Formats: sequence, C-alpha cells, structure tokens
Amino acid sequence: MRRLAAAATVLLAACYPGGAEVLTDLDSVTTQHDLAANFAALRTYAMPDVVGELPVSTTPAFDHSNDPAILAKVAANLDALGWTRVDPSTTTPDVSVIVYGSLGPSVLWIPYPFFDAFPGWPGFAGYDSSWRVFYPWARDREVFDGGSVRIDMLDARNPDTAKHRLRALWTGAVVGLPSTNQSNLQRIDQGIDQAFAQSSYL
Amino acid sequence: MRAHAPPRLAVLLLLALPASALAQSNIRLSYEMAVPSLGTSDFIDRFSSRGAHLDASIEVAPAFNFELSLGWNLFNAAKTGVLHISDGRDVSGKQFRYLNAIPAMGGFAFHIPLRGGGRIWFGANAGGAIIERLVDVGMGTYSRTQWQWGVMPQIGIAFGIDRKAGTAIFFSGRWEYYWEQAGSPKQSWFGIGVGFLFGAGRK
Repeated sequence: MRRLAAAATVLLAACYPGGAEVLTDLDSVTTQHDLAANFAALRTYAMPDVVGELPVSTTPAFDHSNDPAILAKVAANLDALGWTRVDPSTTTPDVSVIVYGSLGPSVLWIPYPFFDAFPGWPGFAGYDSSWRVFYPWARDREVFDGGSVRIDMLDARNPDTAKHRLRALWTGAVVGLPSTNQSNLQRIDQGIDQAFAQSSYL
Repeated sequence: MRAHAPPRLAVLLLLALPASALAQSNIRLSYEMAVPSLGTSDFIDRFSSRGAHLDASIEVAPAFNFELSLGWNLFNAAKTGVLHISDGRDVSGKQFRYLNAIPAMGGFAFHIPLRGGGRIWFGANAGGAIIERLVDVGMGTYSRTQWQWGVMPQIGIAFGIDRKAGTAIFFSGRWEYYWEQAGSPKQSWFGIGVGFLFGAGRK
C-alpha cells in the first residue's frame, strides 16, 4: 500500500514537471489596450514626476527612491516611439501617463480612484477625488500576485464629466517578486522596455 | 429501431464466441514516450518521456481483436515570448508550457501470432482525449481543457517471456491525431511504447 501511495505521489508530481527555478522566472509583463483607440492620432503626453501608490496599499511600503529612474525609463520609451512630453499646465496633452507601484500583492478594483495619488499635479486640475479610471476592456479588477509597477495611459481629451471617469487606452504591468532595491530596479527597467516592445501599436 | 441493430449484433457475436476463441485476448500495460507532430509541435516541440497506456484486446474472430485503450501523455517545455491571451491583452515572460492528454479509444486490430508466445499486431482506434493546455507565465496560469475527437493507428510486436503464464514484453508505435474542437487547435504526436502483455498464448 505504501508503494502504491508513493507511486501515485510521483505520478501526480509528474503532471507538471519543471517550473520556475530562479526569482526572475516569475517576472512577467502584461499589456492591454483599447481596441477602439487610434494611437496614430495621439502624439503628446503628460506625466507626473512621482510614482503613485496603488489605491490598495500593501506592506511593505513602496520604495520611492527609484521613482526618477522608473519615470525616466517610461519617458525614454515614449520618446523613442515619437511621443512628445508636454507641460500640462500650459498644454492639454492627448494622454496622461501615470505610473503606480506596489511592493506586495494587491488587487486593483476597476474603476479605481487616481486623484489622491498625484496631489497637486496640474494634469489633473479640474478633477477631484470622485474621479475614477475605467478600463474599456471590462475587467472589474486586476490581481497582482507579486510586486508591480503599472503604467496607465489615459485619454486626456475626452473625460467623462457625467460619470467622472477617465478612460484608459493602454496599460502595462510589470509584475514580479521583490528582491534587493538594485535588482528590483533592473528588472523593472527590463519590464518597462518589454511592455513597450510588445505594444507595437503605440 | 434499425439504428440499434449494429450494437446488438456486436453483443450477440461476443456472446456467441466460444471460450477458445477468446484465448488470444490480452491486456497490455506500457510506458509511453512521444514525439510531438502537427499542431502539438507548435505549442511544445520537445520529446516527452512521461506517459502510460493500458490496452485491452479482445479477440472477436481469429486474429481479429476489438481494442480498448486508455492512456496518459504529458508534454512540457519552457519558452520565452509573448502570449496572446485575448484581444488586446498580451503577457510576456518565461513560459512553462504543459500539455496533458488522457486518450480513451476503441477500435480493431489484426493480431498475427509468432513463435514462443509472441505476436505482431496492427490496427486503428478512434475516440478522443481530454486535452489540457496550460501555460504558467510569471505568477499567472492560463489553461484550457477540451475533449477532442481523434484517431490512433497503431502497430506492435511482442516477444514471449513466459509462455505458460502468457506474458510477453512488447514494443508499440502509435500516431495519435486529434481534430480541432471548439477553438482548441489540432494535436498530434507519435507515441513509442514499451511494456508487458498479459494473456498471450494462453490455452
């Protein structure tokens, strides 16, 4: 009977051999875009100078020392694709690009509030805490099993003033298990590059 | 009513068979390896060393056997690249791909006896398989399970190792093909089996 049990255990384990062996094997990049969006007609963007916290805060807290490097990476990718960054206090951009981060697992319920994560940013002048970001691809939540850095591209030209909503046109999520600060930044940088690389329509 | 005639006929034929005619019936248990071909090789192109088959072979006429086959095959491979999950949604990262198949089939085969309790057989089965395609990317899992209809031509050769007990060792080859079903793509692979046959040559 013991032999039979041992054989059954080995057989079941054999159903899914292999799998992740190192931390980076668990890194992933997910992108989603609005199929109705005409990205060719969008060329200017504005972006806050901070990485916001996901509305569901988790512990440990997100380390903001990497914010400048993360935002520079996002900007470099957009610039390389021909986008032009504008100052939202003087020019209305085609899109607002916001970057969120979370060091631990989290669930983001859609539509989600964004205003309080970027206090005083002129790109969100005229909005308040009642405004939400919604995803036209109709997901009611996004689940992140590990730490994540998320980039959302919002339609800045057509805010839904009746429902107080901003429409997301594209989103990219870099997800992985946190390690050292330096390792995190390196993997986030690679993930951001990959998010844009797999979004050729941008 | 006429639609019930073939199954009734088959049952009557089986009942009418004398015990001696069933002497060449056998059970085969095998370890299976497989090489992916059309369809499957697009998903996983790696040799599979995990699998098993249980075959029951019932002689319904001299040298002509009714076959029942139940099996399990597992393919796995690691890939990198972009996975298209749905319209507009893409996921990239290291992909750990798995294909689990549990075929269940029936068919017929000709069995030609050899000296010393051995035999050669060839035939074809039809039926289907429950096929699960699963991809682990990052910390997410994407899978799809579907019953797919298929066919399985097969050949085999057995060498008697204990004629009195009716035991033989055998080697078999199968080609399993499953049609596309409800959005699940076609699958196929060549299976190579080695195992034991019980009941051969019993008198």
